[in-house]
Amino acid sequence: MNGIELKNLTKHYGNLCALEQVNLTLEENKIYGLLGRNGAGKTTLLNIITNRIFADDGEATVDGETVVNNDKALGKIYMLSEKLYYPERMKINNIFQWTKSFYPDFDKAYAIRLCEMFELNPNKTLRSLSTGYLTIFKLIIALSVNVPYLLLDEPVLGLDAYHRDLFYRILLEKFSEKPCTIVISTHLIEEVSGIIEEVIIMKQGKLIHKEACEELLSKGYTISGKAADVDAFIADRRVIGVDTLGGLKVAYLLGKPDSNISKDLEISHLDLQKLFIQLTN
Amino acid sequence: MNLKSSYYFQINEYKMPVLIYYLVIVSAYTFFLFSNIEMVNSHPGSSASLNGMNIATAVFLFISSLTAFKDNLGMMLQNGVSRKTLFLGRLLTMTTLALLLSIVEDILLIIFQLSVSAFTQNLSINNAFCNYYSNSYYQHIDSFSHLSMFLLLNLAMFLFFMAAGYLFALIFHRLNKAVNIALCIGIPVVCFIILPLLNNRMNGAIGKCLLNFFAYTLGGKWNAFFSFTIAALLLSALTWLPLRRVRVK
Repeated sequence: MNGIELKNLTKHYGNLCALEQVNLTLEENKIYGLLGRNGAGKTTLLNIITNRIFADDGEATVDGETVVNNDKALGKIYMLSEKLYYPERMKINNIFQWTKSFYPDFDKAYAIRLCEMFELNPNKTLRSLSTGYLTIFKLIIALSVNVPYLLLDEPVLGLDAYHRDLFYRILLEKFSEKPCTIVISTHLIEEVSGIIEEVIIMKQGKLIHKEACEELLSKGYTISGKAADVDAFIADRRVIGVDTLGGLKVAYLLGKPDSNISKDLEISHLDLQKLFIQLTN
Repeated sequence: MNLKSSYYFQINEYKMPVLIYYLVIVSAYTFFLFSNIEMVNSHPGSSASLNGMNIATAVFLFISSLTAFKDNLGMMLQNGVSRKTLFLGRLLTMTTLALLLSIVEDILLIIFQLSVSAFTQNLSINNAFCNYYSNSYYQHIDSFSHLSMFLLLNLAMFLFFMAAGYLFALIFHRLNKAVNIALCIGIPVVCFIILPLLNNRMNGAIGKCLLNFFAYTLGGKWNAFFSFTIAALLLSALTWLPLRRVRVK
């Protein structure tokens, strides 16, 4: 089958179980959000898919082929990771050249254009870049590499709001022009909630949710209004969380909204971040 | 194809260090030539020699192989290259580099000897194998058989040193910090304190064994060639064991 398939993946670090019997299918041409608290196993999962580490048990396949020591399968994936795997002494331009030799579909002209958009000098060495610009460098390669499977682990680490917004816009533009499977692992849930089609939530090494984003968000709703009115409304309902500002209150609830809601209360969609907090606590 | 890219990347990593190294070697030779030429000419009967340039090259290859591992691994894993392809690329890189540098060593030896003899007959330049494996001391390497013998010996020796450097780097990478420190301290302690003490207690038996071992393995040119080649093959094969599941730390 096409896509990335994980079967019974298990990984331990000493006594710590980083992944426990994870089964997951990532379909073609979809954008996934991989969410989980620190230590949930997100990076471990992505590292196993790219054969950077080995699972203790289970198997990861890309388009039906195992990733273990398989250049053909690995060549279809590009992973942007927090850790820098490139030699620090190398110049960005040189890395672009080498990337082209490893990934023949890498678009160097596009990468240079992105460098101009992100104000990154391609003649600089990686050693001389700040954390933010290192992330930009990695993003530029990821956006230009043109592989069927793109795994982005904390893709906006250290980026300012302008660059984050620019990245999201370019990512969507790129996806609409040339669709591929994108997995975004991030803690900035609100920022990616508008991009992702499916949400994968991990907790303590286990996959606890995999659902279309809209479907997941339709499982709850937000209610806002005067504090007293909101309190009265939520009294016997499943509340995820509450925010209070002065005399106003916002409550996040699970379930479907009633039809007989007071006119003083305003109803809106659920917040993915609030839902995530509820699901992972 | 990823094997080709892996090979190109790994060989390219040696380009600049090799250039710098030979620049240093040529400078050292020039310094030797001009600092001694006047001395030997003004003192009749005196002579000077510079030997073992190829041993310096072997040490250089050992050290550069020690440092090559980490960058290669990161770059390959980042670019979807399997460890198997990294390993095959490494074998090709070692063979190419050892062959190229063996040829360079022969050419430089000829150039150095010719340029020395243009000034004086009392200065000599030779590689480490000249004295050891030849019946006569070569003032000039003038036969194809000598050159091909040196080429083969250098090739095998360079392969051995590169394989050893890469394997050491890999072992140190795989082991944790405490074991690394223990090894760094333990190896010199064993080699320079415990072994000599034991050797003393055993009336030099260990020393004799080692001498016999080296006399047998390096005692003749073909012995040396086969010993270096077999050891290089063995070390390269051993490299695959820790490499097949290695990860970036």
